[in-house]
Amino acid sequence: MSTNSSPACANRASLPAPDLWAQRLLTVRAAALLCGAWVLVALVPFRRWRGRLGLADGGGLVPDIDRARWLARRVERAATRLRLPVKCLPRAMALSWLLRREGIAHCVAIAIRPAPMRDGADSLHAWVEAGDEVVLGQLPGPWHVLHRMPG
Amino acid sequence: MLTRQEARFSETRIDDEYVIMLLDTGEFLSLAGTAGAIWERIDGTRDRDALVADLTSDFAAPATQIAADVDEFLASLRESGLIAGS
Repeated sequence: MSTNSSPACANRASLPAPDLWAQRLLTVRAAALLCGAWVLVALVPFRRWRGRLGLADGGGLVPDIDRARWLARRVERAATRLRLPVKCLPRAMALSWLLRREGIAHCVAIAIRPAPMRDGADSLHAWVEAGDEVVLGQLPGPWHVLHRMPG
Repeated sequence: MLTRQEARFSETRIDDEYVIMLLDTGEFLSLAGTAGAIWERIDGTRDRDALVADLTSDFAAPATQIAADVDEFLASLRESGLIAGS
């Protein structure tokens, strides 16, 4: 058995091969969705895609929060590897599409900081909530939610 | 009567400010001070003249100035699709 001090390497070494490939495939899918989200945000009016975010009802099932968190990690990993500057909204959109595909109830929240704290960067933010938890986009507040999708 | 087109926006109040998100474009508007005072009075119970009269009694400014400000603001709200009526 090889020794390696990197936790990431140890993690990969301990995953069965099919699970590792499933993880990689999800990350690739997340990257594609991030690119699509980036294009939508940049070029397509909000009204044309806002109805495709969030999922109110996952068939009456309790949201699989662990799965939502795992998918969120795939999105974050993909985002770090892309050369595009994918900020919070495309990330939230990509995760939302993955969650919708798996029927996991969630919402995408768009929020704003109070006026004295709007000094340019990061005065707006988007995140994904599943159950009572923010599974992607946690950022220290204060934040005031302007809109949730689905509404 | 002046009415809000509720389906066209989301709104939140932060202290003395109203922040509005236009659901067609995703743009944000910040309404504070006079604009906020006008916006909060658009509730389906007042027309333009009643709005001006209401603000004139509450603010120490000439009625003509208030009327001009109100007309300009209402025009911008109509252009954004946020209100209807007169």
